Amino acid sequence: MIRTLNDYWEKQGALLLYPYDMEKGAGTFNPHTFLRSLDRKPWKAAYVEPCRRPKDGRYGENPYRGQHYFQYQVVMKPVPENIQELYIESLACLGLVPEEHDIRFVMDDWESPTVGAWGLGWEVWVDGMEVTQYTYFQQVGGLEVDPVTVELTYGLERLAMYIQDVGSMFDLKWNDETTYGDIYHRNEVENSFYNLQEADTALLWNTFEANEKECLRLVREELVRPAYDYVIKNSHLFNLLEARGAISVSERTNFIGRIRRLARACAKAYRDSENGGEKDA
Amino acid sequence: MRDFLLEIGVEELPADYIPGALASLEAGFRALFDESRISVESSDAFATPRRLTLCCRGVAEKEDDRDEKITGPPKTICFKEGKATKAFEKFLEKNGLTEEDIFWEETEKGPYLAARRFVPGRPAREIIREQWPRILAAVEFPKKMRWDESGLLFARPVRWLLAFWGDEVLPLKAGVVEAGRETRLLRNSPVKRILIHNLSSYLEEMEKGGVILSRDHRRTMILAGLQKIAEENLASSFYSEALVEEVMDLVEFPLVLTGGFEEKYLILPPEVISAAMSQHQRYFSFYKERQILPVFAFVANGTFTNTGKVVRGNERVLRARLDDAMFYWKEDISKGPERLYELLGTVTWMEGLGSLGEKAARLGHLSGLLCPEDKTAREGARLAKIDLVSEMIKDGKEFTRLQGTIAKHYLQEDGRQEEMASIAEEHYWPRVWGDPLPRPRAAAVGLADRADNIVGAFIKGFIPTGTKDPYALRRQANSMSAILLGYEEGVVSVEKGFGLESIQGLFQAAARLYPREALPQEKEPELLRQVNAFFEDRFRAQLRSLDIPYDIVDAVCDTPEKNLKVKYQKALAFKALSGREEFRDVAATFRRVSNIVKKAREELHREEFGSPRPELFVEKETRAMNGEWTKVKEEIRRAGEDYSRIFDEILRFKAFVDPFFDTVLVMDKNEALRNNRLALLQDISDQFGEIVNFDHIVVT
Repeated sequence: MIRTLNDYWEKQGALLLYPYDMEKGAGTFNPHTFLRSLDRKPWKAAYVEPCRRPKDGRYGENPYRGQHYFQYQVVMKPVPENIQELYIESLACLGLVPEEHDIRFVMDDWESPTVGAWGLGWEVWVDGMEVTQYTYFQQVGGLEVDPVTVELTYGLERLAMYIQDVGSMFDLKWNDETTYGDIYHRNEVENSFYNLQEADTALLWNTFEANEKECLRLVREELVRPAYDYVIKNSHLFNLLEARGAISVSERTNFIGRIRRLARACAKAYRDSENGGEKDA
Repeated sequence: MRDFLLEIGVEELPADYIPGALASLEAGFRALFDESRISVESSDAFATPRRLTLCCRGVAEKEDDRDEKITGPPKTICFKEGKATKAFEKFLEKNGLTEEDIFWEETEKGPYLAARRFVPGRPAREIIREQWPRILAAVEFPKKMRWDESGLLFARPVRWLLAFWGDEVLPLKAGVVEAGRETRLLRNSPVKRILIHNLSSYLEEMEKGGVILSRDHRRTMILAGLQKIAEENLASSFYSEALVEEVMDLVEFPLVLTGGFEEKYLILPPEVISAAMSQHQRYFSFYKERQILPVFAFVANGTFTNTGKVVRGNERVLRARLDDAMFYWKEDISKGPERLYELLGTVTWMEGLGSLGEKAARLGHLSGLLCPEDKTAREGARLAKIDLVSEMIKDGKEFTRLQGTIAKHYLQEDGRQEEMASIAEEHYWPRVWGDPLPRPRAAAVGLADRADNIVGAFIKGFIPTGTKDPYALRRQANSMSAILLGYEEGVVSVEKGFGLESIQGLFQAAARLYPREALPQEKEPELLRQVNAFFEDRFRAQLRSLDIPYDIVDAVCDTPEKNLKVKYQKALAFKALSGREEFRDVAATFRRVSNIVKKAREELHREEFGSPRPELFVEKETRAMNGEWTKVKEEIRRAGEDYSRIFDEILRFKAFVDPFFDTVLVMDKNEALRNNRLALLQDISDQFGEIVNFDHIVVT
């Protein structure tokens, strides 16, 4: 499936890239998307991204939900005029042709307050099942983006379950002998215990504080990429703390604000350097 | 005359954006045609998720010709010493006029040079071209986006444009997209793009291509499809009509399909099954009497080579959602109501104000005060919140709206009596002012719950201001008013209203249930003052919403009366009375009475003037007024709540008050006389003040 998508998007001119080597909640955090969407240069890329959402841990008992899963991410800038057709064709390559499947674009405006980003778009349904998040970015890191980047995020487990016609992601066949569950089930169980019960909140909290300082220091040193790594780290720490129930409702807003501040600082520093010091309007 | 066709082709618009966008596009063109006086025989506007279309038949080639008046300089400038000036000649030359064309127009500043000029109407196609960018920019959407270098703002990217003037393509643009001859059909139709020649060929091709342009037509198709499925399954109803309105704007060709689910899911409450279907998936559920059937319907877009895969896919998605619900249901049932009640203690309710468990305990106490000796109400109140910690509510996005209903089912599953279980569901009613009212026990619990919420939020300082009302306290206060007045579906039925002597008493009781650390004793009076003022403000607003004039509302509310039902009845009575012609005069007279008393209190620094002593009245007018007052007072007392009779008494009494004011100076130098007169006026003012405060009545 990944190979099919890779072949297809490579033909559309996308660079085939690799995941970023850090824990993150979505492929959007990968600098290939986050930072690249901020400059003016054309950019087309496709990559698989393993993601972690600590709160979604279900000890491997829920057939559809896990704290670790894979996304297939496509970003394009500027947006090709026929992007919707391109996307539908990619589904057809996976066997989901519009003549046999009800493919629908259902409004779903995307927003990530933690990184000060939002965009408009849809969740794409195939026969009632959500398989892709499709977004035209409008702001990233609190900055207007120009040109606009389009982001297509395929939920690989969902799609595979549909194509292989199985009821649980753990029953997906990785190949003829090995299932997804053989590889990842134990990981789900252990990490669910860690995320929801065992994570040392004091340690996470201290790390969060230290990371924040380091991030701001690096921005001052104009080392945008290392600084941005700390944004990713803190976003994940926040997700862990939240999964542990260590953040109250009122603290939550404050926490999100702190991460957003870092994301904005990085976005601004990146844009200043990439656009030759050109200031955002 | 020509036909004009405009189609803006877009990537899928959000369903709820469509009506507003279409209306604003249509209004833009209507204004253009009206202002330019371009006649149009008929016009239609259509919309699907992928197109906004305007079809105008018989549009005039050009705007109407017209005579236009132009005005030049004043006569004094045009002619000096009887000779035409340069200014005069220049004006003629510039406007291509001869001396025969001109006339002198008389104005306040003297005669001015003027002329009528024939202005031929401009071609309509040019006006459309000129105005198009403005109309496009004015298409309304809740949110707009950018997508390419043109920077055009629209709800979703515009991908094609048709603009036919007869058979001719008007050179309109939308961002980088130029009007052309090609439109698009459904993505699953065999032909995906098609050439258009004019309005007629457009409508033909759309029909052939299976794009149902008319929203009404799509609605009818969906309803017919649902009806058919209902009949096939012997169902008596489907859920819900509101969903039809949304779904018809999600598709270009509604294909109503049906699927089923396994009967094992039928142990779930029907509300849960319906929610699993409708909330996210937009599926329709079917009922036979009150039993939900193991079938569902959904609306697909377009036609398919075979629908098997589509149906199977949707069935699978529904199964996943029902599996989730089943998992939650079993978990919660295995815990049981008492365990859930215990768990309430582990969840914070409002920061600093304890847990949900404490909230539930307060709710039990407070409801007990409203329904003394009523075990069912008290127990129902205690357990009304158990679903807040259930798996179903806390985790399932689509089930949160079933808060209360879920608790009811869990209590029923546990074998609790129906009346008690339903308190959990009904105590949230009415959800908004005007919704159906709960039964009395649930009404009591609902009042207690909201009183506790309001007091709690005020303790935390979350006091609604302007547009800020994060805890929806205004809505809650309105629901309390509805319960107390017996207001539902547009009608007040006082006999249905919950009997509560004093809302202030309820708030006070609610405040006293909070621990002293949360609300120190010395802060209680100020807190209650704020809460009561807030509630009073809401109550008055609701009375006004019932069409009672604001001055009458203020006049009946600004009295010592505490019972809201009585206030409402009084307001109604005085609204009726205010139609009588003497009403404003009566108000003026008695306003004068209370003003004199108020002023005297201030000037003389006295709170009180004692009881009047009849033997001290000297003037006949005063004696007459005093004598009459004794009778009037008695009559008013007897009249009870017959405000019309009371008003007649007041009106009659006015005939004794007016002569008094005309002849007697209240503020006499003689202190004893003065105070005695004031004592009488005070008695009158106080008596009336119990009933209605005339000070608020707008007199002129």
